[in-house]
Amino acid sequence: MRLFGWAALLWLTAVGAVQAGDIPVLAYHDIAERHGADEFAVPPKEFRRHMQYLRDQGYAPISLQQLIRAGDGQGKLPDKPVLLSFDDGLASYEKAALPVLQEFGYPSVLSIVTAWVDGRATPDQYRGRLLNWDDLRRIKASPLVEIISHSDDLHHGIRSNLQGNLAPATVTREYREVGGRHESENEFRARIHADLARSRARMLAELGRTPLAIAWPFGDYDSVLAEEAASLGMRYYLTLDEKPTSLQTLPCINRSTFRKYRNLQDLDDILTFREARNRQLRFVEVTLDRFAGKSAAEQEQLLSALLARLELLRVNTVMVAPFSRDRRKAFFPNPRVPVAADVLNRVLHQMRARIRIERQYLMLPATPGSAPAREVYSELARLNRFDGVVFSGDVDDAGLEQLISVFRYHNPAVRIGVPLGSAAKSGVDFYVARFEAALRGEVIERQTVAALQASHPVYFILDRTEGEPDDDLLRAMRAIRSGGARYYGYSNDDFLANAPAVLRIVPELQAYVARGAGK
Amino acid sequence: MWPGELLKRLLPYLFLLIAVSPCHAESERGGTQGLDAARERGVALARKGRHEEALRILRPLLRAHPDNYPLQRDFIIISSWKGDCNAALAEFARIKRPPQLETYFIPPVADCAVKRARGGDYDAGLSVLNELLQYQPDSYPLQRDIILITIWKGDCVAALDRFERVRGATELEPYFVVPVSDCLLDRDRPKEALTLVRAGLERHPDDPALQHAQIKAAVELKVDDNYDDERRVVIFELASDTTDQGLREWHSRAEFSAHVAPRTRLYTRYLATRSDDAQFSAGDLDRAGVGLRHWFNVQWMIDQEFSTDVRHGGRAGSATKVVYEPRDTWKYVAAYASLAEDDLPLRARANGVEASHWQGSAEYNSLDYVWYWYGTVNDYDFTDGNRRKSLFTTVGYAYEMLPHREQRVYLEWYQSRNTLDDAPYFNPGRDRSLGFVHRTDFVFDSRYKRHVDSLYLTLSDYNQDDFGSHMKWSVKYEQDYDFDDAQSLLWGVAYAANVYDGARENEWRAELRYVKRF
Repeated sequence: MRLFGWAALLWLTAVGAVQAGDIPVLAYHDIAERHGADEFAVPPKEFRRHMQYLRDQGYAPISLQQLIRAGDGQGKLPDKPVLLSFDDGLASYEKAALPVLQEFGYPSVLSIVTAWVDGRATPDQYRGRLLNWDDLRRIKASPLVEIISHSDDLHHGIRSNLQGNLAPATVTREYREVGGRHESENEFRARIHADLARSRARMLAELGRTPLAIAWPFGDYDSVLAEEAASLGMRYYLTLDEKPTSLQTLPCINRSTFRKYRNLQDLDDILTFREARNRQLRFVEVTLDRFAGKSAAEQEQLLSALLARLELLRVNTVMVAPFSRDRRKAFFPNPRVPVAADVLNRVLHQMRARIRIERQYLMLPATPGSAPAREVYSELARLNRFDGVVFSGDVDDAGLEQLISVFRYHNPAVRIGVPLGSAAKSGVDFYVARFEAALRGEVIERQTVAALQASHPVYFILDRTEGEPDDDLLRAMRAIRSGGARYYGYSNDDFLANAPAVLRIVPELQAYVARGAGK
Repeated sequence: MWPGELLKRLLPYLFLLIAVSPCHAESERGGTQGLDAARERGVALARKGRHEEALRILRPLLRAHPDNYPLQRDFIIISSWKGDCNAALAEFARIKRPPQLETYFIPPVADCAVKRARGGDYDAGLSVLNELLQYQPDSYPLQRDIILITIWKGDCVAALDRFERVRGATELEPYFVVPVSDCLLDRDRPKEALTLVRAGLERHPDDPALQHAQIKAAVELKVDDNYDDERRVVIFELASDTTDQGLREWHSRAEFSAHVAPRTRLYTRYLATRSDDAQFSAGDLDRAGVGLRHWFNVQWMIDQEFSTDVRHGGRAGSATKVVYEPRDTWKYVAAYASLAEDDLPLRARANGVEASHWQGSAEYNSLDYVWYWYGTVNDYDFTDGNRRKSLFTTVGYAYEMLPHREQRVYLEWYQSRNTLDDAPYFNPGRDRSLGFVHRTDFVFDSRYKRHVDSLYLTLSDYNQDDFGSHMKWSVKYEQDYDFDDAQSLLWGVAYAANVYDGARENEWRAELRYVKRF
């Protein structure tokens, strides 16, 4: 329960104003000119400007030890604290970043992938660009630097599905072609433990001390990783979740990184959580029924068409139904519900990898047919990575709590949504309100205003019926916006028939709603 | 490189290889006849598709004569035909560069370079292609492949810089146009992206990737720039100033426009001006107009309006404006109004003087918003015989761009000339001014989509014939709110210490503009 409470608090702070106690944590990667494939790089000149900006704006960079001590009640943090971290152990840290950090007197955290430092599994693009153990020993001598683990060799992809997609080795239960099965939980835990233990051992051997924290590769983690890391003394872990860190979120330290860095505004957005705070979710509901009964080649064609459509719609969130409309079949392997097509993992993966949809929510019935929900959903959460679930139908507190524990075990940051008016309250992050798009505009606006009185953010879904004129949906979106909705989308998008018409719907779908109008 | 195209590209060279036979040419130089004959045998086998056999002949020869250029060349070509680009490129790296490379030699090496880049080694691929480019600086395929690899590498800035060299090329292959268009979108250049994709579609009308790219660019323009906006729009403007020798005048303009056809808007507008001083009421205006704006494409727009004076019936007017935006950074406008309206001095209107007005202007905004330039020339033909020609130009530079504050400086130049000596309105025979403007934008993180306050401070040296030079200055404060995508409000107030015919005048101006989309 406490965990759910914190999660709800996290969500609220993620979209609310900057709270006293919010600590921005920056995750840098390469400090280099961006004339390469590394979209996470920040140019050296800009890095210096960042440090100057922090000083000019009164930020006080803190060390990891300072943060931990404050978390333990053994010290106070300065006003406007900020934590600076550098991932991957790149040589540019010593050449470009450290001299500037030392000049400003700023502490920082450096995370290293021990297998890369050893040269055991260095990716091609990092050959000749990484710090070696001698470098690290030299760097370690600086009191301003804390070196932590970035895993031994989990910073790469492993096969996650039948179709051969690669997903982060940290949280993926590997798909093994032999036997056509995924890694078991025991196998997964053993692999993770072995890796983290190796990283710890190498750092102890080479640097003379064990790491007190780990930065999860790609930012992804689950309960197994957190438990195994803690058992090896790495109690604190750094994620890439776009939520503020505070003393209360410890041992979890959320960070924001730069992607396709443009200018100082990007830095300020992170420091003030402005981007996260102002983000307005726009989504479509996607059903996978069309994939059922199709050959692999036909499924690929459908997937391409779906991705092309989502790219044009410019949505930042997708709600995917992992069951068929009649709920009798599933689109993911599981022990109870017949599988219509094993495509969910691939669809989610491709949405993230190819068109950068970062928020993927699953639409789930509280009970998947006659099968035990816990068993089916446990497999769903174990084998797939998603950001939230939306339960349909009425769920009570007890039932919901059980289901949430299943999902949060595999993804502690997962967000939970229930229908507006549902009996369940605890652990809920947001409500979902559905309106028929054909309703009169005034009715939708009135109901939107009423819905926004709820205690949590409300996601509005406009139910579009097949063949309905686009004008109905456009009118409904205007009404919902007039009512103050900041998170909205629609259902029943026909991605093969361009219905609703992209060029008409996108301006309405993407229109900005003044902040403060609604939650 | 697609297999079909590769074949198409290689065929002429194969033919050339057979016809010209560099192997023959080399052998005829004499001295190495045995070597040449062996090499020739290898080439002959390769032409029959027996690449491995050919290479088995060439390898020992190459070991014995490692710097023999014809041998190296043929080894590279045959390795490339065989698909062994590692061997081809390794040998190519060893070649001592001759002053010329045979034209048939370049494509197989280039194909291997592209293949290597496809494998993720972008820099190695680019290095080879750049070297080849020195031999064929105008080669479109080489430039195209360099641009593509640069895009794969993630460097849109460099790719688009190089794209300028082949912008006029007519091949427009979809596999080239689509990534370049994506890069243009990435760099906030949607107009150029759409123009490029449309040109590609003219050549490849059924290509699905191009069709998708076209919609993508159109969506971007529609959402971010309101291009071909289907919403109805109301614009209301109100201003009050004392710029005509201290006379307070009020200007208001209301416009309603609606989307009536693709890329076409119909609008009606009403303009009213009023003077506070009753003796100038003859200069008051009440004009109603109706017009059509049509975008032929994202680059060209025409605006044609007809108006009439509803206060003094019969004074009809027409105004035509043509806008050309060849790039997202450049905008050119040419406009003609048969009847200048509120840009005509109140005293002129009050004395029954009218004017037609020609205008031409050009504007540049750098993509990073650091540099700005604007220039305009105007020609007023007054009914009292006066002819006024003026020029104004300004160049701006942002010297500080912080998230909450941007600071810019502008250098301005203005000059005008009037042909009539005495006129009831301010009519300097010749004047000019050199001004310096400092602008500070305060960007607020308010509840709105965007809220910016701007402070302008201007100092200029004004020179009027027969009246000498005087300093002028002004200060202006402005607030600009984009509440959301549908509503915006701008208002400002300004004070200026101006000089007319050597006499100093203090002027106030207030203005407001509200836009609402439905």
